Amino acid sequence: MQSDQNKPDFLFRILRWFCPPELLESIEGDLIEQYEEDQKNMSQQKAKLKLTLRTLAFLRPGILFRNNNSVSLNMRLLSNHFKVSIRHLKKHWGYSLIHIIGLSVGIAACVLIYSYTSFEKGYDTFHDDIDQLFRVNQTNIWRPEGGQMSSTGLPLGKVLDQDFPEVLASLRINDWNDQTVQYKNQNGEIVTYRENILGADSSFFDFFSFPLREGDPRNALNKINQVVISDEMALKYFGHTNPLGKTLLIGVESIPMTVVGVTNKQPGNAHFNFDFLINIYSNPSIEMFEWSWIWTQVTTYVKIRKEANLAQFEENMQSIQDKHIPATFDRLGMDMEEFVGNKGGWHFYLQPVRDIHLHSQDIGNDLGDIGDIKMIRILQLLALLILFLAVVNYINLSTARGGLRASEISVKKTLGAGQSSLAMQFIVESVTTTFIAMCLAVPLLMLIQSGMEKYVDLHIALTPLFGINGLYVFLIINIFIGIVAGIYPAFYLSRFSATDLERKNGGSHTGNLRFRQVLVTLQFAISIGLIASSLLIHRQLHFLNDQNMGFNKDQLLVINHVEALEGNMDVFKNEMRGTPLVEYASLAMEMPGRGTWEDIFMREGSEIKLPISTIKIDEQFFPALDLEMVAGRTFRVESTDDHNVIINETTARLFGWEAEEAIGKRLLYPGYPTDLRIIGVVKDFHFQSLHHSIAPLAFFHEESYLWGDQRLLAIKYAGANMQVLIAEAQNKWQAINPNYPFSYSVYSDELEQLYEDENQLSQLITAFSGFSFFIALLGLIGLVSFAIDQRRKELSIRRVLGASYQQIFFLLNKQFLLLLCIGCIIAVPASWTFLSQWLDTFAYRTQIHISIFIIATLVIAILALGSISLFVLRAIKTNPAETLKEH
Amino acid sequence: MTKELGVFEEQVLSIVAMLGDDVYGKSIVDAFKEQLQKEVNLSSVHVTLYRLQDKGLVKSKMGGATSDRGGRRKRLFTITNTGLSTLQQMKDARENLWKFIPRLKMIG
Repeated sequence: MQSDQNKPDFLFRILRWFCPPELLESIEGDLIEQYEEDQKNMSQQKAKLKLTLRTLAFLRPGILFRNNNSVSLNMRLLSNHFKVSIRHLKKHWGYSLIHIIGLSVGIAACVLIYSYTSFEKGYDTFHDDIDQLFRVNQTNIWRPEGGQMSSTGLPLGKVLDQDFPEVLASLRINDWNDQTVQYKNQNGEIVTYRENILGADSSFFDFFSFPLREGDPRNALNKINQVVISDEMALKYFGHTNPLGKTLLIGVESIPMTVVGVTNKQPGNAHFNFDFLINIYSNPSIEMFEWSWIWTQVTTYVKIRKEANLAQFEENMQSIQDKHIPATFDRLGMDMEEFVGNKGGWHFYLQPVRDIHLHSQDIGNDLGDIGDIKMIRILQLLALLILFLAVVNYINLSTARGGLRASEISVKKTLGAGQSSLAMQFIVESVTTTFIAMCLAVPLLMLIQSGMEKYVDLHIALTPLFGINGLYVFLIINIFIGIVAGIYPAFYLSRFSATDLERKNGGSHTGNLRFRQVLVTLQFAISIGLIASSLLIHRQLHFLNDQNMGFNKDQLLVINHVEALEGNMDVFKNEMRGTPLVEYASLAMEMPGRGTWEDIFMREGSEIKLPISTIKIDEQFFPALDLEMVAGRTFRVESTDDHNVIINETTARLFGWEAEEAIGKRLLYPGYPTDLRIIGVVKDFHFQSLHHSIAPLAFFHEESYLWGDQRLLAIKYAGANMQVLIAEAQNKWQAINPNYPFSYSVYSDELEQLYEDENQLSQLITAFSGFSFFIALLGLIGLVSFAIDQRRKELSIRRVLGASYQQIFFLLNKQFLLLLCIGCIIAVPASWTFLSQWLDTFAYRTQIHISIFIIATLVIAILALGSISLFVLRAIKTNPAETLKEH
Repeated sequence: MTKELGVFEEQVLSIVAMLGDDVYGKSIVDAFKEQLQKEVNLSSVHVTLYRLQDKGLVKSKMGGATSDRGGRRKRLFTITNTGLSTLQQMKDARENLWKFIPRLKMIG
């Protein structure tokens, strides 16, 4: 017995944990005997080491699965396990409900997130040679700080084809956006729509697998003025008649184009879709700019040989900047070195087409929408957290209530059930519970999905979940979650020995309490973190919306595509100006926030060249948007402002001028017939979203020679009755040109769209943190109501002896309060790190304030304690005599 | 019915037969050391014994209480008749083969 003192006790505890009990004694005996012998022959330490190694060597299948005979999937035993599980679930239906609801919310959220993320990750994978398809990006020459962009110049495709053996083919796509499309219908009426049109090289269908329902893809694009349309457009224009051979009039010049193909319904998971596809040269600008590397209006793709070395190819592409691009600058009379110098040179990059959808946050995609890999990661994290919470609930409640089952376990053990057979029983129970939860999760997830679509504008395709594959997914999830949730309780409960029968009271199993407390604390921490995050994201959005953009965005109505009225634009403008509600009406090419055109400008007397964004406006634009002048004047009706410009403060600063000093100075713009005279400097304002800092900007008069025909009419109105104004504008429009569609937008709504991603993120996190908190709360209620159940007699005696409600209340709550505090301490630094990283993506941002954590903690404290209190109240309101009478 | 046994299994089984009584894990490890000059792992001996038991070649019972070994009882193994005949068969089979090995090499 002496030797017991100096043998490492914990070793045997490990052994006891995995070793079947009937083998334990003799194994321990052998180990001790050997150890005692070793102690005589060698040093203490060496003997101890040998003992450790020898003990751990027992961790082997031959010992671990010694009871395999009883674990083996004996169907009769399994069905008995199942029967017992159902009985148990029914008997304690309240707790079963907590388990089931928690798990089903967790599963629904997870499955939803899984199907959303797998859809997002599957973008563009349907193209035949997707592994060989790459987009060629280049240095963003339009931003002072450089970076990458997906737009490239026209010559790139040909150069890649000719100079690089790795390239099998190249493809350029030009977004000839927003053109008019006219069609004479059966009744002889001319129908006009505005449509997005893509121009592409004839290699298009070798790159992207959009199968044609009608027509031959091989020669669909080899001539200009032929058009391939989508099946939606075929229906819209031609109904159920055959569209092939029909003529559409496209563009301002109404070029007749023949329909030569119709696509099948295009898949939703492509980085672009098209309604109208024409040969790139059908757009007259293409031939005009084919020499220019800085007319960056196309997206260039390459198909690369399978065996090509990508890194080497990317490296080789860097030769383009010395070999080909300087010619463009010579023609423009500009210094290339100076233009790209501060951007680190003019580089080209390869991006796999399959990465475009999720990995183009900074690079952009001119042809379609992009997703955000960060959003996907956040969602996955949320899914894991929610599942974790649901599983923790299960573990906590089952182990806490384990004492109630001690008698069941003891009887079974007495009758000869082994530990593994019992463990199997509990795992069957958790798999059964998960299965019921899963059945509930299906309608629940449909409910959440339609809610998401309605309120968050996030479409989640559930189709992959139906059918046989979905069934497998569900089955795997079922068994997986069942086992994960069940394994700890199974081993914990099945280890009760038969003598526990006497200690029927669950309170005696305190060894496990610490573990449960850790889990509850984690739940609190996660809930606090999520609530704090959704609060902060909300705040940042408010900050952005409230942030003074530097101009007025309210009471503004924008009528789009006024250029369709051609010669009558001024008539329309003047009629609107004469309308009583209208304060100002300004013809302009763009509104701040919609995106601008950039080009390169120089100043007189210096070599400084700047890429400057341009907007064409008229004299009422500044008062309509309430823009403030720092120096000089705005455009005037009475003067000709053809060659006058107004610049913003940033432009003046970058050119090295004080605002006052800039007035009267000249700007040089290659290709513009005259020099440009600066007549005013406008106070800086945000003409892009607040993700970006303010860039150089110049206003031209809308009658100037600057490129661009598109016009809108920005109307600043008085009063609240916008609908009347819209109706009036529409009447006037139709009086002038009834054939052309009238379209308008409310400017303040439009600006909110700039933060659509953030809005979505905020709503998602709010929704999911709601779910997770709900699950955590359920678990807590389960634990508390159980704890109170256990202590009913104690509470009654306390009451009889004169304890006040408050004392009892505090007694029951203090432990949870303590856990809540610890949870808060864990949550703050973790979520602080995450949130500050997120905030860093904004150029203008709010601060993380400690108050969001205080609010989050308070919300949770109030809700948790509130629901606990309901149970406490019920417990202490009952007459103590009633409780004590129970035996 | 002959059961396939591995070399180690056969050695353990032989030792169980050899030692007669008071055969348990530790004593087999010792026997390996003395008789075969071989260090074997206690856990492999245990696992092998259980496997032999499953095959019905040995049987086991718990020994009497003792104050040694930290008060732990021994699990004592004895060879069964099946075990004995299996050993016998294996020996016969081996000798059968042995007879056909050319002896020249041995002499040389």
